[in-house]
Amino acid sequence: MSYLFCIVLTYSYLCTLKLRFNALNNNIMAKMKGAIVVDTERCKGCQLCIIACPQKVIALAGKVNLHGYPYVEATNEEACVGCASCGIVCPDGCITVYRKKMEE
Amino acid sequence: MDRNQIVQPENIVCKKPTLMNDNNMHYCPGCSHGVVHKLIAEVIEEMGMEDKAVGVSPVGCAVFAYNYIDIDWQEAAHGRAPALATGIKRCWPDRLVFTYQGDGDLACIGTCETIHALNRGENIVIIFVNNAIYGMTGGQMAPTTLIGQKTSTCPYGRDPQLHGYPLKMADIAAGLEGTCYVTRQSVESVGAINKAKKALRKAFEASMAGKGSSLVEFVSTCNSGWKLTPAQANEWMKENMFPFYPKGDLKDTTNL
Amino acid sequence: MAEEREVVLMKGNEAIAHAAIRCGCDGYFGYPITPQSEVIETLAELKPWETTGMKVVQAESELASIYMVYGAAGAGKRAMTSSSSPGVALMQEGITYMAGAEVPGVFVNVQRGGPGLGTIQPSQGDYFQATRGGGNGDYKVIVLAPSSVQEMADFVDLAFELAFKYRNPAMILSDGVIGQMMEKVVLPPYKPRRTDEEVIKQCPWASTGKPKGGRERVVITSLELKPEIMEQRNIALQQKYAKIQENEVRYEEQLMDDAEYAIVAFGSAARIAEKSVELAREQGIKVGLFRPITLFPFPIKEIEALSKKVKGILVAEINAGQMVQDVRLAVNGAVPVEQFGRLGGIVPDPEEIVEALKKVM
Repeated sequence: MSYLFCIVLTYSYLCTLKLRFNALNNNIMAKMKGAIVVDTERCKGCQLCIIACPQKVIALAGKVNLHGYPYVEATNEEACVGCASCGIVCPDGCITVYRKKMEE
Repeated sequence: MDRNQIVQPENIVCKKPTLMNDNNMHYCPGCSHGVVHKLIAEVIEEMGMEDKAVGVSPVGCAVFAYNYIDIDWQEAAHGRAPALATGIKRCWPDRLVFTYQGDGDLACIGTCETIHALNRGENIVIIFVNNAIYGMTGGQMAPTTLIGQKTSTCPYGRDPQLHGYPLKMADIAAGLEGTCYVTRQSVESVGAINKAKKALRKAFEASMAGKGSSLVEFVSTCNSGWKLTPAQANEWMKENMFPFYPKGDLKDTTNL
Repeated sequence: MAEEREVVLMKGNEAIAHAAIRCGCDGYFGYPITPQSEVIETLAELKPWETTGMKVVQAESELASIYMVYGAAGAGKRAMTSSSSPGVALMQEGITYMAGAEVPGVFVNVQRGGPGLGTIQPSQGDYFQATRGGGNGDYKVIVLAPSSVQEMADFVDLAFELAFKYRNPAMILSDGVIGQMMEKVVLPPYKPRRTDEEVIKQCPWASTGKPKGGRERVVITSLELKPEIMEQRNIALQQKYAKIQENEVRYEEQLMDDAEYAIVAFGSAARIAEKSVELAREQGIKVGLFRPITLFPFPIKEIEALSKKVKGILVAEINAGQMVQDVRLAVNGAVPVEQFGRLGGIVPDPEEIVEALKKVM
């Protein structure tokens, strides 16, 4: 009887851990907000940032710059969490990435 | 949250490195050179060595590296960068001296200078951007071109009978007594870039600590020469270059 | 304070090594080749890295040597190399790069017979290579031609002074005779190597490291893809060479005051011609010797003036006829100009030159 009680107690504790972890995760995801600024005259439209972005923030803007290169812009900036993957992989250093903790 | 609240200077987590100036780089869209340049600029700045760094640029696409990173530079003749670096470092031992070379520069015309500077243990870092092709001159075969790979001078694919075999310079370097750190890295993903930056930092630190010579090879893409998009080139590199030029440290006696 | 002036007996090649240390040279980068290997051997024996801090590196080839000099000199340091004719042929690319990038490297050619691998005996067959430029493009190298072990010693510091004054590569064009012969020489007094601060101050154009918040970055390069800018750079180089021509001519005259004929010779040929002048005078021929010391800048005005005084000129040089072209240009047809030379590493006797002179008369 006490053995069964221990198992139930342990299982309940493990469940609360899982719930707490999920809540924490969601809170982290919810807590960071990002934004990017693209230097469009530096951008060459290689699109490596588009592939690197886990949030599908960036796309080709459908326009070209003074050098004739199609450049990218943040078409879905709401989803940006400021992970900076785009800025890190950009071969031309075009992207400045901002990140701010959201106030609850 | 308003966008203006996010886009504030105190919130910057990633930007063009300070040591990279505003000149637009002439490299093709998606070229690995750009990322390697950024890493060099970041590491020199983080080490606080911008007033002590002297770079030696090659003949190849990166001949104009001296236009982009704001340190002193010397332009070497094709393949001779390690000799220039030897002269500079021997006479200015407290400077951070590195070469930046492509596969033709380092592994073809410059093989002798590369091997001897490394083997003498000159306290320099040789940065090797290996994209298995001659980019600047229009896509000819390089000593690191893979068997079967097509270039303008082996349009039917590299054939050992006609063209010999590709050269693994990092393996040669690792076998030399004078080298203290030999590594292969790449810059196509965030994870790879982070590792590459650490490797570059280690090499620079080792040269300043007098541990000997380092070779940091960046297995890279040339989407123009390979006639692929930048994204396709990254995939081709992962499928074909990585198995032949495996990444990781081939030698590390730095104790750093 | 009395200057220490040491008088010693040594080979020309050894004198180069001693003089390099004494003039505050920062680095020697070289490769062995006959007949000048004594330069690096002497340096290795003297171990200047333990005394003055001068670095000595045996490079993997002449190609590497010249580029090590380029690197060190491009960073403002006094750097030099030495070689012989086939090795200097290999260095030509590095030399034109230094000329284009305005890098003050110094190099010594102890000439031997050619063409190709040639022979190890002396010759003066690299006059064209030195003065016409064996590399590509419109450029000049300052060329000093010693004819004694004393001049081998004196010209090292002079070569560095001129190289840095004009930011141009400078060379000492010697040959196997001067390199190998032993003579008394007064070695120059020790001059300390410049400190790093002095180098930075005196050479603001050099790649010494861009100071934080200081000057623009330095780029030592000979590359310029915009033709308009490249033309300007080339014009500036030509103006520099014109200035060198105007200011740096050096020569020596012997017994020219009453001379009816002149022998024009440089280097070891001039030493032999000294004896020829003596022998000719004994035979009643009024001949004098004109010895160019700088081959670039060539003493054009002086030879032109000389040609107005004499009835004929013999150019004695150990090659098939190289300096004679420059003499003919300066003389411009005023008087007959003949050439005498031996080839294949054979060094002429003074009597042969006298016989050749008689043919001019």
